[in-house]
Amino acid sequence: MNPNKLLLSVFALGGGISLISLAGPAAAQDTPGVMPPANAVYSPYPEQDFPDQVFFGDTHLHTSFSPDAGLIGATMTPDDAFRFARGQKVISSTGIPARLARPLDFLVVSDHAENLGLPAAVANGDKELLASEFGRQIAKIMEPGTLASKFEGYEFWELASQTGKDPLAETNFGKSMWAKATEAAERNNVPGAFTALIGFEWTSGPNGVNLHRNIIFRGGKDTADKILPISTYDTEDPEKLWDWMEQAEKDAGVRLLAIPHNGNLSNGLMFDDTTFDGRPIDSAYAQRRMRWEPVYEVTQMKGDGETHPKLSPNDEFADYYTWDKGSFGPDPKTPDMLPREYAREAYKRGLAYDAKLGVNPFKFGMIGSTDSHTGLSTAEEDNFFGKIVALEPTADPIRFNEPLVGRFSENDSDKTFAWQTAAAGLAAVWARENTREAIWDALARKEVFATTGTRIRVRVFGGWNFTQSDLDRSDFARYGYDNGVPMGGDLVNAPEQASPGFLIRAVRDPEGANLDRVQVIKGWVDADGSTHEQVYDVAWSGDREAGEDGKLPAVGNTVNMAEASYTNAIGEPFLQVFWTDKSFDPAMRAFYYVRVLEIPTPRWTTYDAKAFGVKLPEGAPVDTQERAYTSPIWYSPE
Amino acid sequence: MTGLSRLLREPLLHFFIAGAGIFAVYMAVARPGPSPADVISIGPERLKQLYAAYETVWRRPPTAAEMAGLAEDFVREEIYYREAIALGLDRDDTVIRQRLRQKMEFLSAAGAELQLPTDAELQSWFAANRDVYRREPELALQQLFLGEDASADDVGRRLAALRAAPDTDFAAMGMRTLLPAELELSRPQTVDGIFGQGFFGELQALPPGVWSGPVRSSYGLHLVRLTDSRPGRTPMLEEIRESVARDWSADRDASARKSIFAKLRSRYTVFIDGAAAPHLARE
Repeated sequence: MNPNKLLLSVFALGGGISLISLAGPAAAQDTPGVMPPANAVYSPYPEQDFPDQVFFGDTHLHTSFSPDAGLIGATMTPDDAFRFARGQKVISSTGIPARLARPLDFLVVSDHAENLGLPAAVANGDKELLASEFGRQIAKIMEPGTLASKFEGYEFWELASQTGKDPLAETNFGKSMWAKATEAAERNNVPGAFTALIGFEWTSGPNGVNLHRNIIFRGGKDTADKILPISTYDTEDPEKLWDWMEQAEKDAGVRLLAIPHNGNLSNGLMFDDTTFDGRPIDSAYAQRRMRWEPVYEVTQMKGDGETHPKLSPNDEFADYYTWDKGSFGPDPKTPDMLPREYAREAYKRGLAYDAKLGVNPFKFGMIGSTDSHTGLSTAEEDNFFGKIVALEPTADPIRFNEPLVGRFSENDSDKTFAWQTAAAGLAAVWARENTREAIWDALARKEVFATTGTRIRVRVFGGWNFTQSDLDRSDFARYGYDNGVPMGGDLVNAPEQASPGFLIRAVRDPEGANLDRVQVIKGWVDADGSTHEQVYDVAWSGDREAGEDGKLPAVGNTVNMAEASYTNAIGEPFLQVFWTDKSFDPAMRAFYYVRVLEIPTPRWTTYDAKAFGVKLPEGAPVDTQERAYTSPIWYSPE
Repeated sequence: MTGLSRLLREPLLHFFIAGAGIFAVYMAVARPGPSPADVISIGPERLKQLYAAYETVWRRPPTAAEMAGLAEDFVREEIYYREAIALGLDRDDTVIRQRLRQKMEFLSAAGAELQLPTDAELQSWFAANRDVYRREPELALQQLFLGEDASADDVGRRLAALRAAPDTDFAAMGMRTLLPAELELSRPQTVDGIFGQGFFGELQALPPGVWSGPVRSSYGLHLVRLTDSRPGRTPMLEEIRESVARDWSADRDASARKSIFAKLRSRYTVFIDGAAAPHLARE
């Protein structure tokens, strides 16, 4: 045997051991409980089998295992990321002690599949990496360990990866690093207390436009390790991704779903009318898309994708963290791209497709997540660690002024800057228990909602026979499930003369701001195929009345800029309403989703200004109205 | 514990034993005979290994010519390696230094990893680290919400009604909200995540099984009945022996590493001239 091999394999074992010791005693307190003695007295719970809890998490987080994080300063490993999400204190990549005020309930560490683990491998002198020419070269470049050498290494990797060929294709590198990633999830998954889902990001970005998807596994390491993540080196075509997912389910016994994000940076490709290779989309495409991509990440640090002010000119809340300056590629945004980039417009166009093809290709649920590249899932305005390590909290102007989109342009008007980043978002799921299976299943059936980082809870049931008095039922949830459908569901078989009715309840974040209003957003397609939308204010705080323009007046504002504070003197902690669609036409396809708005609270830049004694960036609002979007309920005449 | 067994458990000794063992294997495998600095001999073991490595990557055995090339390449590597060491090229190479450091750190820990704790050891280690294994208390509850505030009269009236008819549809007596009317056994994090920080703590003071309150949440006042509870407790060692043993090993690893390094460091005299460059230090 090769003596070097011996030492190396011993060393690899050592690597595993030290990872285990990281999880050590601190994690032990969350070990599952033991069975109580047989004579224990249990309480007489009514038999319930419907989802009765909301779990808040993040399905999109990068760590030092992602080349575009770890090669530019991120030191947090997947293990660190899980520990942080579980509420433990960690030291951020820039040396700042970091802790969440409230832990998350679940987390997907979704590192980029393209050379997943490369930065960690460079740092540790991974033998699989150093067995390749590319690996030796990048290790050599980064040898000085300085920031400059890291950036040089990053550029070296980017150049190699932009050829579209995996620079490490000939090695076993991918396999060994994937096993480390799944191991971290396995170690941090504590059913009932914290769910660590296995996942990765397929980073398709033809010409710099964003077609990225996060792939989420239902099961554990035992099956996940039987496959290797597909990467954009394999294909940039979402349909090929679905082929791969189908094959992986057959070959390895995994269950997978894919969550796309940032249509706003896709230059019209996210919800396009044609397939990746240019054919008009057809019913087979629609079916497959909805089989594999049941939910969409609608809000995150790189902007909000619910709708765009140009698409929804009558919606005064539409201009929310609008990022519409092109993509990461060289091509600028043109107005014709917008309808194919935003969720609400996709829902409307999906109805038209449903009428034409018999299948709706854009019938997805909505969640939020962070897409943070710091290993720290932070979506709170007063505890926001930024999009990348260089933008972690600091008084340095880089925190606000770094351009993130349009870097290559000479005009500032083509750019989106760091201060425009949203401290968002969260994925909220309705489930019965905090386990991989229950959370994955909720995503699959779209019983989920998005928030911009706040922990608003919202529930909606749609049905044909609900009445005003049902809103007051003490068995609200059971009745709702028995006589209607929850968010993500379908309304069909409209009885004669009936209109759909919606029972809606919302409650503010227990540690957060009161609610301003609840809205129902309806979209529909008429007989000649044109689509429409309408925003209804259905419940609100105080005794406000709609003005002549039909708009409810603003809720007011308690934000104190200098102190970066607000009070709950306005708004309501609870809002609930029974709402029927009085303009319902049973011949027309429609969707309905609920938007809940908080009262204004200080934006993260306002907290920063106070903490660091710096000026607000020019153009930055003092406050923000955080919100939640539910997955829609769809109506179809057939 | 006898002196001998104490000695046998000494981490530094393990370090040297493990190191010596690996060195012995290394000698046996790599140096079949005396091999002066200017002799490079490639034996059958090495050739087999080159052959296997090639086959793994290319999914076919190497041809004779390729095999000769592999051997020649190894010779080249070996010569460059020896010359580089002789020139001291390894000394300022961060990657090499890090690798060697990692190998040393691993070797320092290997002794503890291979060792199983005795019962007594595990017991005493567990006793010293009990708090880490403590399980949080859990409560199951029913609640009804009275609103942001309620008069003492109102609270008293409702409490009396609830206590008089414990089987009543209690949820119908409170304000309707999205707050759950009942929770199964839940940890503090879950309860506080719904009702606000500190609510679980308030509940712990309530008597079990009877409607009581009011208890203040971040929303307002609630009447609460605790329907089940599981006290926080430290499990018996037997219930979690495996994970304690794992942590014991990890802890031994860490302390072995620490004490070996301390002994190694004690052989050196270290000067760090911080005063000469104060601007290099971060506050």
